[in-house]
Formats: sequence, structure tokens, C-alpha cells
Amino acid sequence: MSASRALGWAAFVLGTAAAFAGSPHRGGAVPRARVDRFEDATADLPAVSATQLAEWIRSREPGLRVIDLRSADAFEAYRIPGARRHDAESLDRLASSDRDVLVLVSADGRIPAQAGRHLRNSGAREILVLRKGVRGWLEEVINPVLGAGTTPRARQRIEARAELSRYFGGQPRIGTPGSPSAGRAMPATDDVDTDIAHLRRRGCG
Amino acid sequence: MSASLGIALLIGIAFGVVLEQAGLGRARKLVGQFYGTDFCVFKVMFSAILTTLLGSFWLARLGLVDLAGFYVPETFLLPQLVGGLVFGIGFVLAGLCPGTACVAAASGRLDGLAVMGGLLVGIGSCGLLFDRLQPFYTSTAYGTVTLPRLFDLPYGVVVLLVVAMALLAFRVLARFERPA
Repeated sequence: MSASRALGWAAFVLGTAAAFAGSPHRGGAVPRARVDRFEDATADLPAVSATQLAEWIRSREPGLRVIDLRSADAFEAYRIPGARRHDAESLDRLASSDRDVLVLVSADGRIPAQAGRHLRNSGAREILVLRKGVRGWLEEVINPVLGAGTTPRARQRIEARAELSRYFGGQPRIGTPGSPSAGRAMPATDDVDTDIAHLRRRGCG
Repeated sequence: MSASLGIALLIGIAFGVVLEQAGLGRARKLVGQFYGTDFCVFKVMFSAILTTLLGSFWLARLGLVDLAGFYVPETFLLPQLVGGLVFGIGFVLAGLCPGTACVAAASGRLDGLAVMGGLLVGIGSCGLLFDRLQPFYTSTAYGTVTLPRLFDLPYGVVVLLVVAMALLAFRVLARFERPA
């Protein structure tokens, strides 16, 4: 048997076995997110979506300040563009003016109640919390699953979201959010650290 | 990062040497593809696709690599169709594609150097005109499309179908290939 024929048979056997081998995607139990642990109570502050924050950052919204309250290690591993890190315990020392819009960022959107108390008298124009934190940013901006648009207006909206994602080095996907097919291909997992590791391998961050 | 770049450089040099040794730095051999006299390019490309497909599937299935870490380029249907057409016309006219043009140029062939020159002019022009081209460049976006998602088939079944298609094509081409 010639070498090319042997290679052809090897490819056929491996290909046939692949059809019965199950999914190559990693499944099973995903480790839960190692989020920064704040107090149980969450600050009662209005929230802003990751998409809205991304649009503000892209349009260089005057006075926008993104304050990351995660640990220094988590901040070093991945940060929202333009964000500054700050300890949640010392937010009372954060200087701000009446033109500032502060957006507080945590790993999962939970902000300690003390942060709200500390910032109440900061003088900032507005204090907002990033909904779902860095996890929300990764899901909505970096790895968004966008529904397939059927009308021109819907397609325009999807293209705008995809363009916003690409602006931040994201990888938008078209599909039905939550559908098995979208879920299989989407790198976002329950673990923020895993998502960030994927992102770094991809060369963005 | 520098280690990764060093490894990439070594792989690139090895790839170029293999292409040259296989004769793929010669325009006459490459255009044989379009005249039905030499399907070497098709065989090389599909062999590479099969190796990557089977390798990535089985390495992932055995837990050695994570497919979620692979970068899949996005699909922009219309601009990519036009780009493919321009690429194909350039390939037939020059007898070389970008990779083989690098190999031909490195081997000292003048046609390779000329194609590399054209390549750089094209890249530069595209960059200078990018603001005007951008609406078309980002039109008809479909996100990252993969065959399992497109046909809603299990990954392994798609692997089998692609392997079967390639093996069938190899067999058919071997029958119809006619010497120059």
C-alpha cells in the first residue's frame, strides 16, 4: 500500500470515528467564578448596561470615569479600556467633580453597600454600577451572541452592536442567545477568569 | 511573547522550505490548477485542511486543547466574496498567491518579487482608502460562522463529511488529471 493511500485510510478512519466520538468542546462542571468577595449587602445604586458603557467609552463621553473595584491581580489580568482601579474600602478618598459620571465595576455587578455610602457625598454628577460587572462586559461587548435580524432595521441594529464589539477587540457571533448551537461556539463561560484567559490567548488584552 | 514569535518564525521558515521543495514557488505549477493539468495546490491545501481538522478535533476531544481558545474570523459575506474574486483573478494572472509569492521571491525569482511589490502596493492602497471602503468592508456581517452551527450538525459529523468530500475529490481528480 502506498503512503498516500495509507494516509487516506487513516483520515477516513479518524473522520468516521469523529462522527461517533461526541463533542470536542469542553463541557462538564465549570468552576464557579472566583469573584471578589465584598460584603453581602449590595449598594443601592442605578445600573448601566455594558453596551451603554461601551458606547460612552467609544464616544469619549465627557466626565466618564470607570472605577474598577476588583483586586489588583484581576485588574492586571483584564481591564475595561480607560478604567482605573480603586479599593472599595477607600472610595471616600476618591476625588470627583460635579461633571463626573462614575461607573463602578466589580467582577459580577455586586458592589458593597459601603461603596455607595462612601460615594454619596463625593459630589459626582452621577454614580452608576456596571450591570453584571466584568462578566456582563465580556458577555455583551466582547463575546456577544447577536440574534439573526430579519428586517433591515434589525440587521442595522445587529451590525451596530457587532461594530461596537469589534471596536473593543471583541468577537461577535450571530445566533440565538442561549441556543445550544450558540452556546457551543461561544467562549464565554461561567468563569470570568476562564473567559479572560481565552481573550488573552486570542490576543486582545 | 518573543518566544512565541521565535517559534512562529521557525514554523514560517519551515513552511516556506516545504513549499519550495514541493515546487509551489513556481507559477507554472500553480496555474496548472486552473488549466486542469496539475492539482498539486488543491491536494496540498486539502491535505492541510484535513490534518488541521482531524488534529484539532481529536486533540480537543482528548482534552489537550480547548477549541474555545481558537480564533475564528468573522464572516462579511459580500466583501469576502468580492475579495475572493479579486484574489482568484490575481492568482491566475500572477500565477502566485501571497504565500507562494514570498517563497518565489525568497528563491530569487523575478515574478515572485514583482508579485510581492504588487501585494505591498495593494495593501498600502487599501489602507489609504480604508475610510471610503469601510462601509462596504463591514457590510453583510454574519459574525463567526462555522459549519456545525450553519448546518446545525454535530461537530464530529461535519468532520466526517469534510473528510469524505476531500477523499472523494482526491480520487476523482486523480482520474481526470491530465499531464501538461
